[in-house]
Amino acid sequence: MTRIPLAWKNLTHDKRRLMVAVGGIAFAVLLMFQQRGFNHALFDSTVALLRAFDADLVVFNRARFALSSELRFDRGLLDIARSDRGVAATEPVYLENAVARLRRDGRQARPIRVIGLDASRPPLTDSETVKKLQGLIGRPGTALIDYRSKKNFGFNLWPEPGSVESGELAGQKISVVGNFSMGRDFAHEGNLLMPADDMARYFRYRAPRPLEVVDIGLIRLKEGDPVEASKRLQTLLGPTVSVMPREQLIRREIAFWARSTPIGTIFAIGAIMGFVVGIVICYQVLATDIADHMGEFATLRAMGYRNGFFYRLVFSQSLILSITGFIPGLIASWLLFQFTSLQTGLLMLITWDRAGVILLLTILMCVISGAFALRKLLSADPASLF
Amino acid sequence: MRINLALCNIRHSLPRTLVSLAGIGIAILLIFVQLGFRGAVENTAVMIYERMDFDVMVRSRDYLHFIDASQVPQSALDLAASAQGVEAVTPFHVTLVNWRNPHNADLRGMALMGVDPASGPFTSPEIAAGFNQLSSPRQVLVDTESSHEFGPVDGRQFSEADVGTQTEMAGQPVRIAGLFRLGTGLTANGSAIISTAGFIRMVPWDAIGRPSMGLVRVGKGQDPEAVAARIRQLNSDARGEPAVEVLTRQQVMNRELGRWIGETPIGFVFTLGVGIAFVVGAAIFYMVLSTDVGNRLREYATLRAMGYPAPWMAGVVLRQAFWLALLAFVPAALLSVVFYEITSILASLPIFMTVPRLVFVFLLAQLMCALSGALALRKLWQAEPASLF
Repeated sequence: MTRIPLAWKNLTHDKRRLMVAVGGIAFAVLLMFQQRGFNHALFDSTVALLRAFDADLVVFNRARFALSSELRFDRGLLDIARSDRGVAATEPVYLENAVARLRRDGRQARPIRVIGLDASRPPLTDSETVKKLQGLIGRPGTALIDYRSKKNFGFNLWPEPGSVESGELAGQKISVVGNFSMGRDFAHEGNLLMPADDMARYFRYRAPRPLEVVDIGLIRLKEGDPVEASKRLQTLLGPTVSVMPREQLIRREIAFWARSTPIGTIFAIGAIMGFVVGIVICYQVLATDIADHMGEFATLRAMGYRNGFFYRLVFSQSLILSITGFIPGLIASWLLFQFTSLQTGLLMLITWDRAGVILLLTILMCVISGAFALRKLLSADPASLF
Repeated sequence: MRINLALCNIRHSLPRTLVSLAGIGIAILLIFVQLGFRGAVENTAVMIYERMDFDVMVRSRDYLHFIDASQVPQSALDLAASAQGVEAVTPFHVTLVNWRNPHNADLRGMALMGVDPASGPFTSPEIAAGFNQLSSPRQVLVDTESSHEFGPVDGRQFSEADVGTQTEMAGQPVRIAGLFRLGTGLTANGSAIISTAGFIRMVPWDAIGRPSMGLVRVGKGQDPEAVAARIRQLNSDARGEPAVEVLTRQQVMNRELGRWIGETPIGFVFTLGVGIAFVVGAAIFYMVLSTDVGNRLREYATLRAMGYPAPWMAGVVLRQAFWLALLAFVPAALLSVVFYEITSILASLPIFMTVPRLVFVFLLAQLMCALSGALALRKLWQAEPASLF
């Protein structure tokens, strides 16, 4: 009953110092959030396309090592897949990035990823985008632009309803009539979404008939275990393609980028730095506080308070510091994430589990410094103070 | 007498000084680390061009970056060759093609560079010496700096043991005829060199009569700027609009750097990392200095009551800040060098310490410490000497 108020009062006794301490811890929290956040963002963004689909399983060319590598498979395999008893529906997804250049008003032509879907029943989970894509039916030469695309394309990423902005895509006229949300990543500066049959007119090189070669096949199951179904379909479709649950492909894609770029290492190092910064700051606060109250502590010890009392006191202080530092750190991180997302088109998400990890790290960091500070306190010799 | 007080303060309570030094040291280390990461992006961005021999470059106006260079008509290069002051124009082809790992048959994207074996574009004489191994258009040289994912026989790096291996590039058979050492930085995880004839056979739709860029060497004593202007003019239409982009070596470097730092998510993320490190660093400096001044507030108040003038006391605090920053800087800088070494191995990035960075961070640390000390002193001015006891 009396324990918590002492920890609280010790901390709030000098308001200025408390503010500096909370600020310091908040910065450490910000640093950890930022480093982890960048790491997640670079990976989240590369799989945003896969996450947008309404599908249980995916089919793709076995050699397709990353989403951006344009290795395709024969559409006939999707028809075969449909013969499986567990399959409810299959949908082809067409992607173009290497030869898809978008140019507006004589600017530089820049590569953009073009996503072609069956517009009559787009296999997307976002109903708003589905509706917009369906609105393009019967309007050849129109497309939706990802509003996170790079501004250098020159298109208005938030077009007014009814407005039409034209440019050139792979040598033909294209009009942007609306937007949707996807995100940029390592390999793509932006996205265009259009009905597949219209997309075929732009990419005739996809021989012999553009829509006969598919980039990703989506499979929706009636019921049953996706893993089991994927094994069955793998046998059915043969060795030229891979069939796997969508989540597995998401993990594989993230693993590919983690392997082929050094960013995972870099951001892990950054986050560790944040953690160490936090320990030093927190230790500074607690040690100063203990040093200043050495006389009081010695008196308490002389009065017969046991070591356990001081353990609890210091750990309560650590805990209060970590939580009061975490909250402003979280708010600052959120603002920073919004800014970064706006500037880079990356998906900067703070999810519950990610925030939870940082909170745990913050508490751990303060407890570690509390343990260091405690050694000093326990050295207080009552006799020497008088 | 005066210097003594600042140093005495530092020596007086050694454990407390060590905590302060640790705090400041960590802040300095943090700044070094983030600057190092950003520096690595800068280093890798222009790595390939630094190893190419040219004074002026002729390239498409649609050029984006090294392996997404678009094409220029050969005629533009021929015009450039006719310009006064030009010594030689070398066409250079580059694109990204799929390379088949000879061991597990996986495909990976690799930069393929098509060069004329007689007049290779690289500064390194070793690379040029390797060109005579390219006797047929189906032969390639591979970069030993390429990622292990391309399938070297020892699982780590291409070596002599890989010479003679048959595999597939862009769906066509190729044989590894030799090695070179280049490194393509951020643009690709690996690269290979092929003769121009081989390049055109492999990617005919892009390459016939349309190199990716033209590398211009100017004659002795010629001003590249002036030569570039002449080439630009020769390639201009009736309205004076140049049909191609003509840049000097320095401009090429600056553009490439600008693209990687300013236009890619990676560049932004690292620039922001540096910014955050500055802010967090400043916060730590302030915390340490204000705690330090706060701890000695009574002593300062006593001195003030004794009649010491304010500037004198400010001088003591600033000198103390100077010593703290200096003492923390030395171990932090040493630690950063160790850290750069470790990261360059773990992440295989060219991270290293540079003298300008050392000087910059040192001055920054001094400035931050001085400002924080001065800010912390405000407490002293606000307080009445009497109220401090």
